[in-house]
Amino acid sequence: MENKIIVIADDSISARALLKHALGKVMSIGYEIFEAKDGLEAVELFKNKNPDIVFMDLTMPNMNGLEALKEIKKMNLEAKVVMVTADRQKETKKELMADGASDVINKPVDCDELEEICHKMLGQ
Amino acid sequence: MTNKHYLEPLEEDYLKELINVSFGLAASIIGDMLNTKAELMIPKVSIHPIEKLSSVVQKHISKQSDTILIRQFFQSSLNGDAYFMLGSEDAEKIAKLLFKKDSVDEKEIDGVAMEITNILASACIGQIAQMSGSRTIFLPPEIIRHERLLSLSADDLKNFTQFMLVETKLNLESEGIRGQMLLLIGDGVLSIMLGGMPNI
Repeated sequence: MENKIIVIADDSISARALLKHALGKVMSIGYEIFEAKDGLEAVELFKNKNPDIVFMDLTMPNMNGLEALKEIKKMNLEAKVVMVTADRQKETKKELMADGASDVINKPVDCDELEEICHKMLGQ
Repeated sequence: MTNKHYLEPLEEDYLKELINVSFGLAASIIGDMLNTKAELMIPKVSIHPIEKLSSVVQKHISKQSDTILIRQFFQSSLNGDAYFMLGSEDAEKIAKLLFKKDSVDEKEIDGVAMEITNILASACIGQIAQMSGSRTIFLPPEIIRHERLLSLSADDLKNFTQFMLVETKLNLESEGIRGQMLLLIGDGVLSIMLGGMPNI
């Protein structure tokens, strides 16, 4: 089976490392991670790598997560983009889901929640 | 022990991320409390030697005509003093939103300032403690006169070697509310705070 391609977009190198570490704990199938430090890089990686899933931080410089989500959805309506945010307000989640997010996960990432999302989106 | 008075880029990135996460939680609590959407902007985080406390406080206080200063102690393995500086006018705006009144009294303004401090300090320091596997206990916040912070003597500050300055802005409805949090810490506390840093 081919490795799943995962893109992690976050301007914080620590946040990317923490999410990579969490994925290492929950993934039971092969995967490869590509990192983006803003929305523009995430969109570029989406074009070039055609990832199985994108974990997208909401607040990033240059192009924020919401703008990147919309760009990706324009390219591929079926794209799986999970928004990652410290904002726990229900309204925020509703708005992101309405804008096409496949799911929304809060920081700090809970491994059980992440596992459930990976299971649902990647069929692992 | 980390008693240096600057942060390496990775350390700054980590602390900023931690504080950003904790402020996300704080914004949600504040939003629920005020029944409105609250957004805390990404904080600026810096570390300074304790000797610079007075000049940093002076700089921020002078930007706002009247500043409320709230102090909250945190104790146990992660310990120090947290101070939150909030403009009186901003505290009044929050109090009006909370009490749904056109005019509020000083007691209500002070109460709101203490509650906001409690939420921010607990979320921020609690998150740092959780990530670093340390413990902390919060004492109730209290309002102090800002002149008190400016006139702390060497003896008052003997347990501290450095302080962390966290600057943020809270967007509530169409209001932008600025606040600064100061965390006064002693020997080795920064090392504890950075204990949960991932290996990169």
